[in-house]
Amino acid sequence: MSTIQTLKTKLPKAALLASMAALPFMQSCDMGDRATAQASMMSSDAASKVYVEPGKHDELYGFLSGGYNGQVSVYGIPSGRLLKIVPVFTQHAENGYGYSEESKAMLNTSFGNVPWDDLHHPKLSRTDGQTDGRWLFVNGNNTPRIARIDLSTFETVEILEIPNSAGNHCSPYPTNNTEYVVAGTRFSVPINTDGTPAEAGLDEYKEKFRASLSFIKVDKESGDMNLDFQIMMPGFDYDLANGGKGPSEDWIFFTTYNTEKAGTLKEAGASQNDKDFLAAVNWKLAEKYVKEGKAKEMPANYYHNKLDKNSHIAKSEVKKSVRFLDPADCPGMVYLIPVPKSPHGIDTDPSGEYMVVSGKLASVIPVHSFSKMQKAIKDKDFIGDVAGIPILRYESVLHAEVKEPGLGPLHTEFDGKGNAYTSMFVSSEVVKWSLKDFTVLDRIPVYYSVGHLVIPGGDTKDPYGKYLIAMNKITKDRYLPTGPELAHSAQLIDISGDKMKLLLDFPTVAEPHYAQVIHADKVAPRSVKFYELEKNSHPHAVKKESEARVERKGNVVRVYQTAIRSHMTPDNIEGIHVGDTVYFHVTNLEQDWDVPHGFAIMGATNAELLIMPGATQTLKWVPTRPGIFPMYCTDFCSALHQEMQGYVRVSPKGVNTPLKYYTGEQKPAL
Amino acid sequence: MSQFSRILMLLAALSMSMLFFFPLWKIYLQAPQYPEGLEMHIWVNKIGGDTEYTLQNFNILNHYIGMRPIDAEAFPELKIMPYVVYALMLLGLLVALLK
Repeated sequence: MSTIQTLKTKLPKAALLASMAALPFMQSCDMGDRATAQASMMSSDAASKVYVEPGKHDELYGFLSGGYNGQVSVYGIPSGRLLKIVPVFTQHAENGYGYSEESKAMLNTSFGNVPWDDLHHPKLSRTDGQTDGRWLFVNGNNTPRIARIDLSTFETVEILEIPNSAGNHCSPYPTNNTEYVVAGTRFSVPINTDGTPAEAGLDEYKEKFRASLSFIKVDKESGDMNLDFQIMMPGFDYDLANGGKGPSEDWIFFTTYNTEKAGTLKEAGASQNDKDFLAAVNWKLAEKYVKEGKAKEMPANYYHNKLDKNSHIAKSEVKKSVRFLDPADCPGMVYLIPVPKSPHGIDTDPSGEYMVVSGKLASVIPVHSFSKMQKAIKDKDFIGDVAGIPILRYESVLHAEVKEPGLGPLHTEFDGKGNAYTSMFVSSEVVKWSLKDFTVLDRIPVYYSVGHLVIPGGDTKDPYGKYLIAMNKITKDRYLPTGPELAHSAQLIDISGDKMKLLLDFPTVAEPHYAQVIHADKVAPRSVKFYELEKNSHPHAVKKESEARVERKGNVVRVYQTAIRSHMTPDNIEGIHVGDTVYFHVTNLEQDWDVPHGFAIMGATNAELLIMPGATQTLKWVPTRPGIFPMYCTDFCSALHQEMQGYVRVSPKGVNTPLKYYTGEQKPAL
Repeated sequence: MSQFSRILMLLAALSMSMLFFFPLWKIYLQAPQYPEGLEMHIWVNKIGGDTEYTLQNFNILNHYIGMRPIDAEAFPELKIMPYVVYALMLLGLLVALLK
């Protein structure tokens, strides 16, 4: 680590303090001018640019992460209309996700059933470096997981737990053809490669804590994920990542902070070194090393949950091993590139030549060059190493520095027309700069404290430089107040001209971190209208009303129920007793678009079911007292929806009420 | 019969085979909540629609107004009519081809 010491040009603390002290002053200057600034920034015909006539469709889909709600919100862009919320890592009582017997397994992990997570980064699947509209990958930050949403159904179809990780933040970044999706560790932890429980003193951070970078192989046809291998890295905090493109497409880049390896009070401890690192990983070479047998196998314990397309049942598989590569044994696989301290976003431009690194505390935005990196590697222009990983010389890889960009640069996206746009958290603005001469061209205030920003395809080879959405952490006075907790906001900005223009400001659900935006015609034509009843392979499905029935085995009662406008079969059930466990297997017999049926029963301690046409969903119900319990359809399905209701009679334990069920006419019990 | 009349007769007989390729009767229903429309097709030998689920959806809507479900099995015509068409075609062919 002596090399890090040499990197350390001790920034006088006084200077830092002075600059921090200046911030409130600069912001207060802004206050007075804000109204004028905003008025001049507003496009004069903003309303017509975001107005989508009733009944007309938006041009784009926006997938905004929900952050601490563990969900993804789907918006129409440019209107900012909320289209759907897709539950991913979080139970969703609204449709029974995570509560129904079919979906419970989706939230299984080696820690147990974890019904919540912190969802940060959505990333669309790619073909030839462009979004293809097939799948959306998202990360669970708290309990390391990667999920896949199928964009033909807008459902979470797969969740893979990541072992040897904690704080799964720099995830899930795809390669150009979605060969791999990568996931990195933000909280380094002790890792014992013999699989024994990894526990260490918290003061042993420097010696024992390590990080892993996981490479998840994605099946070209099915999209199924498989943890192919991990790379064991020094115990820094791996923050964000992005894949290369074109000439750099074999590489993937990770920003790291805490190269100081501080284990406590990181806000100070991890800000000591003047430079931290960008880790450049040659994933093609890593894949080759794995094929050559350089990876070592270690015991592990992690869950892989998959939804079956035809039965709509999620099943868990427990994986017991993982293979890993040690960079010290794999020459040419990983390099460290110095970057200004405490970097956040790493974004590669559409050509794949520039790696833009945003340092939260940096006064410039360094732009590294891929071809210079290649040359430095060839010339062995190293200034040292960390655990066998060579460190390249900053000046040799640096192409340019964007001067005076603003305060607190976090993330950069590109418009495909030679410009880059960087979010500035501290100075609450988006700054447009040129990839030709690296000068600032324009800036626009946002309200307030922008985190990520997104341009449709702005992280791919083929950006659509018409819109930019800034996602802001603080809204304060922007909307009608709603008590202490306020909505976060998104601001739609027109970037089609020389000057950025604010078009629309809309509140979002929970806390969007990153987002993806894609042309509607890449997704909409493949949208499924309903599931084919014929293909329903659920073991408890009933495909005709005449097959609806109630079966008892011991104290387990299974209700094979059908729902079709506007009745349930059976809708009268007797002979259930306190102490029974009842499973309502409800099949929606409809084969028409937009006719879900709901199912709810009084006193159920879990949730309702929302059953899509052609599908079967199961609600477990354990009645705790005798009585008459109404059940009904909760989704207004038809003119006689209100009549779509029934009763279950629950008798006391030991009372001999015979099993009986019917709709309209009574049927004989089985 | 002139050669011309024979050809016309032959074409007329053969054209009846179109009944097996196209519906006899199309019924269009429109409703505000069915912007894409509902289209039932009655064939010489079956009842169908623009999608394979049209009949089910017709029946669901019909039951609100007390109509019995339309069931192809309940129409003997659908079984008999193909033979009637075959017979007519055969007769036509005979008339056209026999001197």
